[in-house]
Amino acid sequence: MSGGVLLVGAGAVGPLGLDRRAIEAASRDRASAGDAAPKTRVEGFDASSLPNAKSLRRATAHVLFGVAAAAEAARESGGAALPEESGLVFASALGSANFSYRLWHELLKSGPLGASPVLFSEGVPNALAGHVALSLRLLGPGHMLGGGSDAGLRAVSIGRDLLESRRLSRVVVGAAEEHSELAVRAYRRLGLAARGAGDGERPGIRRGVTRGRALVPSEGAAAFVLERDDPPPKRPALARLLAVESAQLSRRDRESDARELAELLRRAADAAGGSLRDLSWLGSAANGTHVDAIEARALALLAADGFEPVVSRRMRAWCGEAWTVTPLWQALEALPIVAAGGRAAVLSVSPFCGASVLVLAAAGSAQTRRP
Amino acid sequence: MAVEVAVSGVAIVTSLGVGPEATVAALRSEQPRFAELQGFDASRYEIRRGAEAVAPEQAFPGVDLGGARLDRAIRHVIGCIDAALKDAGLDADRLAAPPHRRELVLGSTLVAMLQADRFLRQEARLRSTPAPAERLRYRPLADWPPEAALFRIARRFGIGGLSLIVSNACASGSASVALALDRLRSGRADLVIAGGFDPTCEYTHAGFGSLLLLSRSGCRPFQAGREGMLLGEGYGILVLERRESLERRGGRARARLLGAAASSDAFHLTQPDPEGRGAARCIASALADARVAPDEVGYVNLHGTGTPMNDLSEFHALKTVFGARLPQIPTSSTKSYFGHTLGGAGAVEAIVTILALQHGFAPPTLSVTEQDPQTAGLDVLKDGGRPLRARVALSSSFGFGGANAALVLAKP
Repeated sequence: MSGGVLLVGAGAVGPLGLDRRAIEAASRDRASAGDAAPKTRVEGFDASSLPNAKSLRRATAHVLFGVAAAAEAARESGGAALPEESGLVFASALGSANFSYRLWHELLKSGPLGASPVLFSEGVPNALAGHVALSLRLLGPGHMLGGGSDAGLRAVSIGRDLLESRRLSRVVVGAAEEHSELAVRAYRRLGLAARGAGDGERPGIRRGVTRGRALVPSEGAAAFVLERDDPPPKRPALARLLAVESAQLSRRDRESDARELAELLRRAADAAGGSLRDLSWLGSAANGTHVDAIEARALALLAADGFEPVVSRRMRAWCGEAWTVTPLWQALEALPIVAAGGRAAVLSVSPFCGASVLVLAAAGSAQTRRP
Repeated sequence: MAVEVAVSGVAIVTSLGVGPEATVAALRSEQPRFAELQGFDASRYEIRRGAEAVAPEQAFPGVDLGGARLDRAIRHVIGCIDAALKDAGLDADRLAAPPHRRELVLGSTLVAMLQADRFLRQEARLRSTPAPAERLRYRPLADWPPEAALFRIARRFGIGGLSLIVSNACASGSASVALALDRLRSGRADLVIAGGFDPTCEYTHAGFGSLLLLSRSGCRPFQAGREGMLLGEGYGILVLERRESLERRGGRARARLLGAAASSDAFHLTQPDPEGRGAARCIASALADARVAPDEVGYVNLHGTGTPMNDLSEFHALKTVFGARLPQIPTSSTKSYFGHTLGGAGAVEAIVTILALQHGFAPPTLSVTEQDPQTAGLDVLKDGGRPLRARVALSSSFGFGGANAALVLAKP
């Protein structure tokens, strides 16, 4: 069994722009985040040009973002259509919370007659996976993952498993989120979201700090097309997926969490067939919550092992916390690093301390070591 | 050589009862377990019946379920995992696999939706009160996200590796088992706790009602003139290990998980493909994955929701895969006993399939007096069920979003 998995296409929608080039341009042109408040809403999005737009006319926003990102990734991977047997794995933390909330309110206000069949059917948790399959005509396994911020990276992990175990030729992986007033309200009341979060009043994330105060909720989508490297792809790949490792931190105390997170990073570097010293760039998980201190302590512990990568916290400073999507945007941010020959890692830690690490390298670099 | 995966422990809770023995006894009794729904005020609904389980504290007396504030469904899942580990002969406090190689893959559509239910009801009440004396409590919302459920369950059982909530609608439970199989085969995990669950709640009752998918005349899969489904509460947990490591620790398997597959219809968000093409591809892939020929399958536990379109689509899928041999394969839909448990269905019915193989008894489909003539050729077991000598069986699930999943199970 080959362990080689390549990223052969990518797509994105977010506050920085409506395709992945916008994120690349930001990475290239904006050396730092500046002091501006993060952009948190997708603007100017037009769903009418999406594949299968007619069947998407009642879909919720994160579904539209997800389909757009997946379609862009599919186009880039080398053709109008992916092979029909391709699989898909998507993740969302908030999912269709808006439709569910509206349906609940109608139900509580008007009784059974208030239950809207459209809100119910378009609000099912796997509406995103179903619509991506419909829009791109993907007939392989289709999975929808719920979870915290790191579920986007877990989707990549399951996509990699499908390529290896199911001998699929291609798998589309991704994540999508939409602005949810209910979620913003809840996160604020729980002390996790900044006052004014979601409306751009004030950034909740202070760049470079190790102990933030609160996050700024955001929205958007990202998707990748993964492909096995045997046979070699016809078009140049964007990157090689060296490892994706996940853990559930125990949350006994901050020091334990930091040690477990450090161990996860070591495991990821090992699974990538190297050591921590090989990782030259790290997309940070810091989001202005308790996660910042855990990450800072883990990095301090690993500095003793010589792990001193460039740590980027720019993505959330630019466009807030889009939960499952942000780590995938950070993977896009890492592409120029790996294209230049470096190894890059993206770390994601959710508020409940589910944690994942993605390791990328140049497409022509060594393959993943099997467990 | 292919890696063999064993089901070393199971736990099940439905309206039939708690645990494998109670479930088998209830299946043999041939009594459907539906009643007026108690979990919410169903009096406003034309259809008020469903299949609810007992409370978690009643199901698992003496087990630490995490406290009464924790969501009912999550308390049930904790009880089930505790029971499944015991069934596997494992001590939750002393698992051999290191924490990062223990994984959790659970299928659910609602997860802790009952917490959102509590919050939204309070919010609606306060909104309609001019000067409310109480404050809106956001605490239930903190337990709503799937990651909160994963965290609480993982911490309780020392699971430090990958943990997932798979939300593939009604195929969630079987999809989670399929993903767990991949994790064990690839060697990335040593022990995976997989399964599916969903409670009954007003949200889904109203939603399926709005789509006219609920039945006034009970759950009667494959019956001529059937009207639809009834919802049920269900929890099914399977402990999965590589057979080699199970034997090394001296454990015994309840069954082997020979193969699994998932597929997408890419046909319609909520309607099944009338020809069942996606489902057929899924079943054929699962058999190929299991290296089992269609003529080796001796029992099929059907998805069989009882909706007119679903049952017909499933029939066409089975006909495509099994062809002329279809009439020789006994099949049943056990949703006729305990309703459609949504995200729990795939796991609950996989366990029923394992129990059918173990006990040599294929349960009947209840309440079928006249089989739909459009499904002629499908051997839907009726009164009395049938003694079962099969070694290999299939359990399949199909859901909204065109999500399909199938599992191939065998005697140990």
